[in-house]
Amino acid sequence: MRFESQLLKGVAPVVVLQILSRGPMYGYELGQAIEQRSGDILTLGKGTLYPLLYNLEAKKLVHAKWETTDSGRNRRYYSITGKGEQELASQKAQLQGLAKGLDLLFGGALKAAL
Amino acid sequence: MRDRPNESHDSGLPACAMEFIGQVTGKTSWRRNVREDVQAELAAHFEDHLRDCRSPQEREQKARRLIEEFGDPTLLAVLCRRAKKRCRPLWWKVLVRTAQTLGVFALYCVLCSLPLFLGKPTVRVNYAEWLSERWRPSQKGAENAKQYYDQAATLYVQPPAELAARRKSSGWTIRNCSEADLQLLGDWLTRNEPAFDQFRRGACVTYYWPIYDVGASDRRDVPFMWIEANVVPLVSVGPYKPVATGLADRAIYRARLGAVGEALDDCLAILRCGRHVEGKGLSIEQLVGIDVEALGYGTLFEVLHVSQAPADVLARVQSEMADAFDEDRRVFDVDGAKVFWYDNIQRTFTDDGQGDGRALRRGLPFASGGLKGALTRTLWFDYPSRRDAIVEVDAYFAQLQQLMCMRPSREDLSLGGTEKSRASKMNWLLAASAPVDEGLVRLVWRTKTYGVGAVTTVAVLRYRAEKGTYPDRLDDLVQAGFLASVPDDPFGKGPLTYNKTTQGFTLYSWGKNRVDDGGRRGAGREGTRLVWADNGDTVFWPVSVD
Repeated sequence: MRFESQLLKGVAPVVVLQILSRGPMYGYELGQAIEQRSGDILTLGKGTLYPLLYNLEAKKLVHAKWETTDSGRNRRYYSITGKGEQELASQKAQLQGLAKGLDLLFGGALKAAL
Repeated sequence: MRDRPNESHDSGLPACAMEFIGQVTGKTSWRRNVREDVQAELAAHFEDHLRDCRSPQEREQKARRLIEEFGDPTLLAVLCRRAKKRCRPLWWKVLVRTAQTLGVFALYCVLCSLPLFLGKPTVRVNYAEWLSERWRPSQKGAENAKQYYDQAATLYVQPPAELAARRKSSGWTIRNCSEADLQLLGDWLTRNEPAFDQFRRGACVTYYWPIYDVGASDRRDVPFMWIEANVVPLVSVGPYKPVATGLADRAIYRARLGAVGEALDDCLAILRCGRHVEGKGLSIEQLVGIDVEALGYGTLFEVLHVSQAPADVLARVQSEMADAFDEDRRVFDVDGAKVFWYDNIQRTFTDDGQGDGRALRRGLPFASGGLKGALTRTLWFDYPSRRDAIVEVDAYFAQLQQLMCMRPSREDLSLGGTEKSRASKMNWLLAASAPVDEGLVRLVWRTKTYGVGAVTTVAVLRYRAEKGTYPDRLDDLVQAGFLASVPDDPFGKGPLTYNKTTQGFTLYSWGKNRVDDGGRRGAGREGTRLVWADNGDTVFWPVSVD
């Protein structure tokens, strides 16, 4: 299942922050993790991934650092910052509220469908 | 852990991947380190994606699919750039914005100032030629006294050092010097006979008009203050003054020896030379003329004081000086000063565009409205036009010429009102020269007053020579036919002040302060007696012995 890009656009930062809240990742790894952990429901376009990461970095929600992996490769690892965690908690609360509202709107159909 | 990658990641990637990464980073305006970061990160992404490929073909195909997933490299570059921009700290953003604003403003200033540097002035009028023609008489073949004065200046011999040193010593005058000094003086005067002859010959000529080196005014590289660069070399009357001074010495020398008629002739020659030069040509030259005329009057008084001139000689002198009563004679002509400004304008303005021409950078001082107004206008790039500049110059000199005709006894002898109002309204260059020009007006009237005083003194002495007694009042001179009318005191409120005394008479003008100080001579700050001082009266007779 693929979502409309506009629909996903608002959720993408929360998704990235949520994934990074479990540990630092580099860009490629992050893209893979989103797909895997969302059961291939959510996927982030490659052309969107890096601008999004740079945006989050600019807002100081994530922190990036170059590291050399065991295989000797250089990777830029992104990790969530304290500010990012606060933002994630806030966004999650809002999404939960949204889900609740949508559920009420659809008369439980949403919950049943999920 | 590092903030920067320590090796290149672009090795081993398919050419299409390398090209894509290059397109993304190449279409950004990032700084070098940021560009390298993005390049390394994208390369790492491709490496990870192609990690499991076994053949180059497979790598190539997989790389192309990834490139398709990334989409348009330009769009990706734009999105990355926008996101990266937010990484910059606030101080950096403020700095960049400020620099950008200043840059735009500087560009605006440059564009607005460009007209000041573009274009060239067109020097259409050769004002040196114009000045040479301005006072040339209409009569064909008229003789110019200038040639004789120039010749006299060439022939003039400076006084010997010994004599010059004596003259500098306190209290030394020709009237009271020793016989040895008189001999030294006589020798020097004899050596100057050729110069004096030429000078007196020039003084007898009816016309005088200045002639300027036309080529000297045609220079294109004249700086703004061209008065120093161009005009001063044109002035040739400066050397007339030493010759006139030498002739004045000879007059007093002759008077001491009893040759009063010849002495007075020398005085008249000096006066004629002064009147020749004044009222014509550049301001500097006219000032020299006024100075020479004043020297002539001073010498005349001294000669009259040293010797007793017979009535017939006095009658001749009086006749020669009759025109001194003409208050309308032009002692100073503003045209000579005005061409300074006209020439400046034609050299600092173009002659095209609105207002008959626009100011080049050296024309900026011609902005009207005072220094403050001119600066404000310049900051708003409101530059003066040629027409505005000329109108202002014309108005100023019309006012100056009007002042020249106004008696100094009036209180409103000022150009453009008070100093404050002048500074706020008038062009600052003109406002700066206004005090000097106001002083010039007083100088003109001083010269005229000196003339009136000299003629009246001669008339009184002539009355005494003929009647055996001094007149009781100046009216007596009119009744006796020695004067056409009672001489007016331009600095007073009526005629010159005359008093008959037991020793003779006193004759004076109220002077610069326009107050009757009872015939008390003016004095300088150190108590030195001055003929023209801010205080006291201008006493013509008796002659000061200081």
